[in-house]
Amino acid sequence: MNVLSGRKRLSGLCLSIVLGAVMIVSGCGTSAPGLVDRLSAGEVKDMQQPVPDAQIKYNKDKIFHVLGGWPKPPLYQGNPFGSGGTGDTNNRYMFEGLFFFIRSMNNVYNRLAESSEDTEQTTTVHLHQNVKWHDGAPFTSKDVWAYYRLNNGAEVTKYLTSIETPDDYTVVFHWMNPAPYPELRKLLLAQDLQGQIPYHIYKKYVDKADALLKEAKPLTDKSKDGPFNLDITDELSKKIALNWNEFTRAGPKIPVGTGPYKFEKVTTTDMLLDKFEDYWRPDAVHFDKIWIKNVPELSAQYALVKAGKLDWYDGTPPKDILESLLKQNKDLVHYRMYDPASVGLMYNIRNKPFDNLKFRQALTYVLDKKKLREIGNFYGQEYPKISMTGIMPSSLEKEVDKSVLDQMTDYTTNLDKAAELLKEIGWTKGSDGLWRDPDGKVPSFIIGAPNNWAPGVNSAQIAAEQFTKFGIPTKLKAVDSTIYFSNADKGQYDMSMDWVDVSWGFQNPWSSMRVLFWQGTKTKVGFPNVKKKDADGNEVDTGKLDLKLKGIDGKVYDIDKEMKRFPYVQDEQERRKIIDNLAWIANENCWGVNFFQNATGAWLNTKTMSGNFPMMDQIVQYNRDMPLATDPDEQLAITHLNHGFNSTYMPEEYWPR
Amino acid sequence: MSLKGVLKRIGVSLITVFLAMLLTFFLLRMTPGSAIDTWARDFATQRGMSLEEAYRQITAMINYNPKEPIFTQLGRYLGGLLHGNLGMSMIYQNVSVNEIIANALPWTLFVLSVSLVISFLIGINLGAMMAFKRKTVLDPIISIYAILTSSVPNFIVGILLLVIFAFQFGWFPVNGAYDPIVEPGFNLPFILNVLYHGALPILTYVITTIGTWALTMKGSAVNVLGEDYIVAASIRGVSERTLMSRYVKRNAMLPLITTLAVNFGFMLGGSPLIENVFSYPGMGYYIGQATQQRDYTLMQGLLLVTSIAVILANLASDLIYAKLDPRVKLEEG
Repeated sequence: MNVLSGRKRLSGLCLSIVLGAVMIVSGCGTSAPGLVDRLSAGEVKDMQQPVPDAQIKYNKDKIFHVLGGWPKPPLYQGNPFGSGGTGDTNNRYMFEGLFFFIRSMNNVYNRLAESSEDTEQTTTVHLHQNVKWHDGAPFTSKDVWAYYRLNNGAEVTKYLTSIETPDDYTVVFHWMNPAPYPELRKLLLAQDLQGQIPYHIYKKYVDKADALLKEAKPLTDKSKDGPFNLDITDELSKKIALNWNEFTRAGPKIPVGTGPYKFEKVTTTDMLLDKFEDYWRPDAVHFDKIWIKNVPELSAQYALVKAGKLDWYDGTPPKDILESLLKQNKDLVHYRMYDPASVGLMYNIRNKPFDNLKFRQALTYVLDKKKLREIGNFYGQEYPKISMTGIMPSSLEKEVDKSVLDQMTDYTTNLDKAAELLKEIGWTKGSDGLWRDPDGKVPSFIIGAPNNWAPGVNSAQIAAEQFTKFGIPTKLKAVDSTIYFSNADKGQYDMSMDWVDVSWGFQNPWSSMRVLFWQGTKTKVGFPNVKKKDADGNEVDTGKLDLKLKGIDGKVYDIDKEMKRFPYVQDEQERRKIIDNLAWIANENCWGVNFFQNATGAWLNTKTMSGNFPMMDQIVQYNRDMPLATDPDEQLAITHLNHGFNSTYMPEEYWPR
Repeated sequence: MSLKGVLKRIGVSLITVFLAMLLTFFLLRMTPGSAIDTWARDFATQRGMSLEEAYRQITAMINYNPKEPIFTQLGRYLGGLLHGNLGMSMIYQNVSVNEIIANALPWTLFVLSVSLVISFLIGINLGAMMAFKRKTVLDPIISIYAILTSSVPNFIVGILLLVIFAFQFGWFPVNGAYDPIVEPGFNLPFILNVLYHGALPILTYVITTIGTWALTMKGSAVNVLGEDYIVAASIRGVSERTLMSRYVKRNAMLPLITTLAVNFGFMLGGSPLIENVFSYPGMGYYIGQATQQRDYTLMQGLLLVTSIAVILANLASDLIYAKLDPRVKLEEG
């Protein structure tokens, strides 16, 4: 009995010790001086200088740690156009283009191009002469030519007639007549990484593609487009596609680029990139290696950030997680910026009553955008007045004339206005609070959303609740993303969630208008296409937009024509008029609703890196949780930080510490 | 155990494999979405063409025609199977399904088999002790532990272990099967590194299954303890230790042999969750990826291998059980 009670006491004591240890350990955080302490102690200047190798304390191996994804071995291969590619993050460290542009700001920098000049019909690019591929072969103008002859689906080829290479280091792009306006030409060229198709490796496929393109005749039908202004017949298109498919399966086993880092090793979870010793800009490379980890789980990613295992991390987590990460790791600093995209909802005009403008407007007046933003992304920004303009809202005042903005319908929440519009089109509200259509039926609508997109799903749920509370029963249907987009394009939902007013590419209003009128928004809204009869008399969808609407001046415009002529309009004022008109048309026709412009961010680990951090003088004030910058220089620096770190650009501004 | 009984068991297993293969084949093709849809979108963007045109070209390029009659597709698949060819991945056309499985299966088998052996051995010993010492504190403690760990999904336990031991303490790696700095091969650094990386996934499985083994063993042992031969042995003066190890454990363990095989199948099926938490390059990762991309050939191959493994494990347990317990005869006719 005594032994038993003694054992019981011992067991109880052991259990208490274990529990206590777990509690202590789980509450532990870093206790070394963090960034704020260091700045307060006057270390600002030290942080802005490269650290001599002998004094590097926290990153002696000079390794830059980031996250990324790639097909896991044995699926990994070295062709960036192969299935799965060569990886997202690492792509930018291994490959380069003639130019490099920073998304969201449209700054274009020379990269493989040393200089360039434009004439009316040509752009001549002079290459740096000391550039090598990772396998030692020289990078020449033939490689640029090879890139576009093989990758003839690249957008810029639709504006070109030919590419000449008068010598090894000169590339002459011949544009169609009329040519795109000069700023657009550079942006189009900057979309591509021309250092991805080494001619000496893919010669067989490049020469085949070139031979096939030479079989094509010049385009005579101005309503069509084709690479290098060529009329690609169905048969030729099949051969070109087959050649392309063979190219994508051709290897090599490891990527070969011209970038500052070359491929060293890959496992299922880690990729190592080694400094390329023959890189043509050796002074720009400060880290010896890039260590990329593949961590798909979000909670594991946050844990890595918290533990200081990453030097840079992309994204702004929910408020409570963000604050927790900053609290637990005092060396982290988080910067915010706007995404060039908004979370929004699109009405499917193929379904009744969404084909009725007043109905769409009525629904839009029901929505309280502040609540949608709070749930979707606390740090985003709602624009209550607009429906969907095709332009990034934070750029609206810059891209659209004030007089046009003033004439746009104001869609700020107004339930009375919503009710009034519904009554105008024959809807009635019953004593049960539910609205009935002109046939007396109570509708039940579905908002579709991809289930892996939290901002969209969460805000769509709130939108559905707001519609239902107003008296229009609506449910959210969140489906697997692998089937959502094709379902939405086929019109299976009454309303669909996706990015709207979005320009993932260059920051040009025409770029975001393309998404609205030609790409993702078009298919979800269900804009009509031009139909024609085939040889058997059957109606065939040409895929060409068939939308003619009244503009702000009362005239009817063919939207497709306006979009097509925009790149060739040389006069800036005239281009602005086109955009003014299209934005006004989009807002007035209310094809969807911009819930809020998304905000994203970037994290820096200041323990392992030093550099000229943006907003350095405000870090202490905001305790490392930096607000959206208002100063244009700071905005640029933060955009560089976010979008640049996905490229070769950023590591050159930071050094191991 | 007669040869006829064994052959009958094998025959039934083969039929089960065939039916599992058929079911997988048809069910996969009934899932919404298709490999072509995702691929066509990427191809259309890459090649600057319309979605319809991209769809048409991809169908022409790859060896899969969604409009082909399903029984024709089945015929081709069965023909390939008879030659041991599981086909090429539809998405990664350079890589055969055989190659992907050959890379992934060893990792899954390594983690599962080590976990199973450890949890089984510890579990049956604990269970036997619990049966013998039912009136001590050991019984309720392990019972509570077993209930808790069987209620919590195993991937949650995995995440907890990751947070505590990998991120907080830094004692174990965050993910993967081995570090990129070691050279894969039959060398000590690589083997130790693999064990080091496998520690947390193995611990996850062990923690979440050990309680169940203990409880099951306890139940079985309690039944055996009531048998006449145990009472007789006890009266004869056989020591408690010998009684437990040679009389109780051996007899109580028999029903658990069958459970072992079932558990193996259960764990193999649940491996995607654990493998994704630890980014472990086993079958689970490729099942998840193939499902997302609608890579039918890869999914078929992976699910077929999983089904075969479970069926073989059950067959083995039937045969071993019959061998271990002379009272059990395999049916002959």
